Formats: sequence, structure tokens, C-alpha cells
Amino acid sequence: MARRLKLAGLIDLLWVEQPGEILELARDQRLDREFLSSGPWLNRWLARGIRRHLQLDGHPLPPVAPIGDERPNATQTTLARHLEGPPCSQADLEALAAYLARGDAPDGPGVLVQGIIGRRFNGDYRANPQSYQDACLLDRAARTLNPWRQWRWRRSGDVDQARARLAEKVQRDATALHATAIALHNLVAALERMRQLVVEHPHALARITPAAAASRCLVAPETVLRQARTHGNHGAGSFAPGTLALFRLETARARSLRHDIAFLTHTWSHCPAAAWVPRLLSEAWRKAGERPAQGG
Amino acid sequence: MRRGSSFQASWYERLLGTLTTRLARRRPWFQWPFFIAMAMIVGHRVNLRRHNLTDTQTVPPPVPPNQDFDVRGMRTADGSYNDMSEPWMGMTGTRFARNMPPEAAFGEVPPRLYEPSPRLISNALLARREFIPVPHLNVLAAAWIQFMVHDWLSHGPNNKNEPPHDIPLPEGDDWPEGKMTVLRAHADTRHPQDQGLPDAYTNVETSWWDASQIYGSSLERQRLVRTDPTTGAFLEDGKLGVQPDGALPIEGKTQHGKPTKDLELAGVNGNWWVGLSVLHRLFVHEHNAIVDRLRIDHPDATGEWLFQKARLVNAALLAKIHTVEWTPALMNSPEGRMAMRGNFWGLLGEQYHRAFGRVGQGEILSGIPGSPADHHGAAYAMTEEFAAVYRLHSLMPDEYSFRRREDDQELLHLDLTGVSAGEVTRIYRQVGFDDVVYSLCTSHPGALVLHNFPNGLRRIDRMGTKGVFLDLAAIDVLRDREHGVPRYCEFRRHIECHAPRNFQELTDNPHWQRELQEVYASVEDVDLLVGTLAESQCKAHGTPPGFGFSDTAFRIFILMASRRLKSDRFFTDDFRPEIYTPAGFDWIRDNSLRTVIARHCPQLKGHFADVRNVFFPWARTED
Repeated sequence: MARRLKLAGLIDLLWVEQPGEILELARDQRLDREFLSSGPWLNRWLARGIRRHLQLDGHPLPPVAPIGDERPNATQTTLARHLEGPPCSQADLEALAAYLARGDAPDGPGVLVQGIIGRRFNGDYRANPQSYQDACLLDRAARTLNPWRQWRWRRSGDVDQARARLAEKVQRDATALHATAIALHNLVAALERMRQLVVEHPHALARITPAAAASRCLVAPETVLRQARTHGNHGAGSFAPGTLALFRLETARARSLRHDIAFLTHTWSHCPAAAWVPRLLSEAWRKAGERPAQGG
Repeated sequence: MRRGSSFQASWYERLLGTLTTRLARRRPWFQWPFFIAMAMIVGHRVNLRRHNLTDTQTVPPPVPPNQDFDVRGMRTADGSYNDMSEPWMGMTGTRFARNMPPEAAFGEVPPRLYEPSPRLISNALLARREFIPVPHLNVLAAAWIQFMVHDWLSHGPNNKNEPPHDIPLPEGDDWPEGKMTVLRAHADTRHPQDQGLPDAYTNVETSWWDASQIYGSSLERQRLVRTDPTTGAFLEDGKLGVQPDGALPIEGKTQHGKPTKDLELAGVNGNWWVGLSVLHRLFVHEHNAIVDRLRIDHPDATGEWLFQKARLVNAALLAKIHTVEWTPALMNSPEGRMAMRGNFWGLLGEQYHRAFGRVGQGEILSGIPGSPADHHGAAYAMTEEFAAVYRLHSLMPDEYSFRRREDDQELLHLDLTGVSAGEVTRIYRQVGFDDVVYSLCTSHPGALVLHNFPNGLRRIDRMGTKGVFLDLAAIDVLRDREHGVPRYCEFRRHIECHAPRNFQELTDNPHWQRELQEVYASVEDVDLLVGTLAESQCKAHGTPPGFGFSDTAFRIFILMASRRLKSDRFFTDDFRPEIYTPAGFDWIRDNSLRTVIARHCPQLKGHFADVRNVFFPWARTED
């Protein structure tokens, strides 16, 4: 059962962490991603933060775009098709395997992953520590609840500059911007989990199958948000216009291990990388298993 | 998919669970004084309910319409409608659930799947060198557990559409034709919702404790056992078919259609042997006796109604016998007896229950039967891990002596093949039923230790004369790996048991330590089956004193033995005279395996009159 926190005029949140309830609510189109400035004060503040940071040229990035015309369905489908085939180049796979098996990644796994994702959109994409830091900053800005930090970033323009630099690297493609700035962090976390598994269990690469390792280490977005457009009653709980529903995806995924929870497959807001991410993780694990592992 | 982690334990259950976890880190439950040990068993069950129940049924199967059948008051043939809100739960063809978290339940793939070779393990660690008996049990105890397992689960036929496993043979192995192939297990069709999850396998029997081994798991099978073998007509009086001499009807093939000359008919008649035949026959006659009793109170009832009510009663009696007679015989310690009798009667005990009935709704004071149903956050189903820890083939002797009850003179001496499948019928031609029961109940089953796997099951001639052989010991090891049942150490870590860090911690027996080391590169690689047999000789963390099976298996038992009762509406919300009829309800309360055998084999009464538990060895005539 979902938990609802409602203080009139101040806050109205609905936390959902049961896998079945998340899928049902994710299909419910009364919960959208318009993120209007409506509802209680904290809801408006959160919605404003999303609109401010997860946008490009005034348009919301695809994963936070509402149902309807603004939702670039065709782009998502094209992207899903684009992600078919080998998950990355042989050289990238070797680099991932080296990180998993021996911890080798000169600039860290973040730069490595950002480069791999970026090259799905732009063959010449080159990630570097600066571009990865920009991605980290944009991600932090989208998540933070710290008003002081928000104010400081707004004054300094750091977040806007980071976004602009990242957007330039992908020819201002909104989907690519989201992938290389926000979505990559889940993939990095998944690879770090895999590496941790190898460090803690020296025989893990031999004993755990690639499919099992990918499922075990996959990381879903910690929380995704929806905003209620109308009053509604649901088995999981009730909501009113402006209620923010927080889908605790990672908690639900860890509980069920189902990929359709992690990627909200079969819902209107499905992730186009639903097949690509597990495939990349499996292939990296398989490749790493071909080389001698090294802990620590 | 749901997991037990959504089970809302009460604050005192959580407290007990937390305390148990802390105490168990110091030493296992059986090394604490009685009352603490009992509390820890309950605490472990709370923790297992919270962390070790995972439902794998991502897409519920369609449920057949109930066609005016009284689903409230009777068990359906396929197990549907036991849970009225999710009628598919536990029915034939639903998936096995898991006691391990999904991330630990992925099936192994080559090369690890074959490392070390299951055949090597069979030869070096499991093969029986000399028969090691359990002196305090009789062979009926071995038959009983197979009888129960046939009620609860079966993976069904294997996959003939894919290339079989090619098990590496150790050097010098004399396996026929120098090649061991084993059909792959048949994984259920994957749905899009299964992405990220391990393969799941289906149970071709109902998962409920509904005596489906007697009545079948389909309407078609049920009609077959309700047919008069003499006339071929459907028995309208509600009884099960028996031959004029009281024997089971002959079907001549297994329930999956494999021709087997002279094979007897039963709801489940696979892997048939004389022990199973005896129990089936006893409980077919018990069903008919219950029908006769119910007809006295309900002379106008239809045969269908009498059949269904008798089935309810018979199934509940089986559950009771298993809980308060069989399991305490295998767990022959004060804690073991108390735990299992407590599951049925509660801590207040049978006498209190008979005098005053239930106290409240809880399961601790008055037992599970009659308490409210609860699935503890995950849809009920048998689990792969439960099937794995019930691989108890070592209980089977390799040789069987059939003796006359009157003078204990041997009439027949047979090996395992001689007491299996259609051969059973030939035994009855030479040895009377009472003498067969007497012989089994005055013989001992094998102990669950290393080097005690019956050799008769290590080279089964599967196709008669066609030279297709099976090594069941190797297959037991292979199937656990294939089904994604974790190996011993990892398995134990998931159930709050100490995981041995080396072979010396796994077993105190220095010979076994050396042999294990020769087969396995690391203790982490030890298979579940091998580990549970090896821990039989480990004082610190192994088999509890008096127990016939491992502590590892016991943890799964305390979870699943309770769950079989607690999830089933007919043992909880609807375990009441209004559903069972007053006479049926009394029948369950007043009967036991002792009374069942006394009713159908009255000549044998004197042989078990003095034994505390009918699964203990009976008095031989010469005694």
C-alpha cells in the first residue's frame, strides 16, 4: 500500500514502492509529467526544479515530458531501434571488462560509460572528466532539495553552462542529453555494483552467470515522479490535482528483480534502453569473465 | 511477483526475529536450552517468512470456470479456487516459487553447470559402499515422504526438444557406452514481465496438500481413479476403484502415458515401488471408509458430494499424520516433536484442544488448523528449494526382504528393481498385503549421510531392454544446479545458517573432508545435496541431535511445513465442521496412521501396539 503525506497547503506526496502498484499507477494517465506549478507549496517547488533543470531550450527532456504531443514517442521508438544490435564497440567492451575484472578505468567508470552512451548518438563523442562532472552537476541539481544550493546555482549559472556544454556534444538532441547527463548515472552505479561483486567474491566472474549478474546489479532510477491531473482513487491510494506520486523504482526493482519495473516497460513512459542496458551489463560481465579477475 | 518482504510481521514477531538472528550468530538453535531453542525456531520462521518467500508467477494463468462446482466447500481437481481472491494460486501448472532471492536463483550454465562433474560426485561421494540404516525408523517412513512429495510437486516430463546435457564422465568410469546424457529440465515459457528474472519451472501437480497423489491433479485423472476396475463404470457411490481382492486397479502405464506392464493406478503413479503401493492402497481404502461413515449421517447425499467431502477429510488426515507423526519421527528430539506437534495442535497441546477447542486466532497457542489463512506476502506455491531439500533418495534401501508375519520366514528377497513399477503386482502374487506391510515396517531405511545413495538408483535401466540408463544421484546434483538452487554455502547464508569456511567446518569426519577436497576446489562449490549429507557429521553447525535430516533442510521445512497449512483455506478459514461435516471433522481429530493401519490391516495391530510412533520399527514375530 502506498503512503501519502498530505499537509494542507504545504505538501502532498504519494510514495509507492510495491512493484505491482507502481506498474498500475504508471499506466494510469491521470498521473502525468506536466509538472505544473499547482498544488501545495513544496509540490510546486519540486515541480519547478524539474522544469528548470531537466529541459533543453525550454522544452522538457523526454523522460520528464508529459503525455500527448510533447511526448516524443517517435523519437523514443527510433532510439529503441537504434539501440538494437551489439551494445557497444569491441574496444568499449574491452574497457568495461577491464574495469570489472581489474578495476582498470583511467578516468573512472563514469567517463567510460558516458563515452559509450554518447557514441550511440554521435560516433565521434568523446567523454572526459569535465563532461562527466557536468553530468554529475546536472544530476545533482535535478535531485537536490537544498534551497541554498539551488539559489547558488541559479546565481552562478553553473548548471545552465554544464547543460549547454553537454548539449553541444550531442548536437542539442534532448534524448541524447538526458542519456549522457542523467541516465548514465544508473549505468555507472550498476557497473560499480558489478565491480564490488568481483572484489568481494573473487570467483564471482566464474560462478555468477552474465544474466544473473546483470539482474543482480542493475540499478533503476531511485525515484521517478508523476503529477496528478485530477482527483483519483486507486488501490494503492488516492490523489488530488497536484499530488506528486513518487515511484520508488530502485526499491521496487530490488524487491522483485523485474526489469519491467526498472524500465516501466509496457507503460506510456517506458524507457527505450530497457533491452540495451541489461545486454550491455551481461556482455561486459561475460567479457570480464574471460580475463583473470583481480580484487581490491 | 510478490515477496515475503511485503509481509507485515507484528512488532513482537520482528523482535523475536531480531533476537533469533543475534542468538544464531553465536550458536545454532539446537545448542541453546529447550525454551530458547523453541523461541528461536519460531523466530527463524518469522525471518524466513519475511525474507525467503518469492512468488515467480509474473502472469497468472487463466482459471477454468467452476461450472457450478461448490468451490467453497470442496477441493477442485486442479487446485483452483482454494484462494477465492486469486483462484489460480497453487493450481496445476502454476510455477514453483522460490525460497531464495531471485538474484540467487539463476540456473547455472556450462562450464560451471558440470563442475565438478555430477557423475564424479555420484561415484566419489554418494555411491553406497555398505548400507547405513537409521535404526529408529522403518521403511514406511521412506515411502511416506515420497507419497507426500507426489502430492505436492512434480516438474513433469523433461525437455526433449533441446540437446540433452552431456555429463562429463570421470576417467575409468564404467558407465554404459561411455556417454551420459540427461534431458534438460523444461523451463516455463517466459513472458515479457520475466525479463531480468531467472527461469521458472512449473509444477504439474497442485501445490496444495490435497491428496492429489491419490485423486490426481486433473478432472480426467480423478474420474479414472473413481472407476470400477471390474466393470469399467464410473463409481456413482463416491468411492475409489479397487479390485475385488482389495488391490489397486492396474493401469499399465504412468500418468504421463509411459507404458509400464502391470503398473497400478493412482493419481500419481510415477517412480512407483512397493512402499508407495502400500500407502496408496491404505488411503484408497481409508477414503472408502470415510464415504461409508459420511453416508450414515447423510443418506440422501449424492455420490459426488460424498466423494468430495471424503477427499477433504482424507487429505486433512494425511496432513495431520505428516505433521504429528512422520515429521516428529524424523526429528526425534524434544524440540523437533514440540515444533511439529505445535504446528498442528499448538503449544497448548492436543488434550487441551480436544477439551476446550481453540484459544484465539493465533497459530502459536492452538496451532495452524483453524487459524486465519495467510500467504505472508507471496502467493502460495511449492518452491524449488523445498523440492531440492526433499531429495531424500538415500532413505531407500537397496535390498528388500519380504517375510511372513506369522513366523518371520523370508518369502522373497528382492533388489530395488524387483520392488519397482509393475514388479509390485508380482510381489503381491507371492506375498500377502499384510506380510508386505509387516516386512516394510520391520526393516530400516537408509541414513541421510554421504556414501549411502542406493546403487539401484545410480544405474536405472530407464527403457527396459533398450540400454538407456539413468544415474539419479548425478541427476539430483545436476537438477539443483540447473534450477538455480544455490550451492550449499550460499544456500545457508540465505537462511541464517552458518556457512562453513572450509571442509573442516563442513564435517567433522576426516575421511569425508579429504574426499570432499579431492572432488571440490573450494567449500563454496559444494553442492546443496552433498553439503546436507556431509553436515550429518558436524557437531557445531550440522544436523541437530536426534534429527534424521540436516539443519539446512529443517530451516526450509519449518517455513514450508507451516505454509502448506497456513496458506490453505481448507486448513485455516474453512477448517470447520460446516465444511468438513461434523463426522468428517471428528474423523480427522480421532484418527492417525496407527488407526488407519489397524482398520485396514487388523492382523498387524500386535506388531505396532508398543511402538510410540508407527514410523518406528515394529516388533518382529521372533521378538
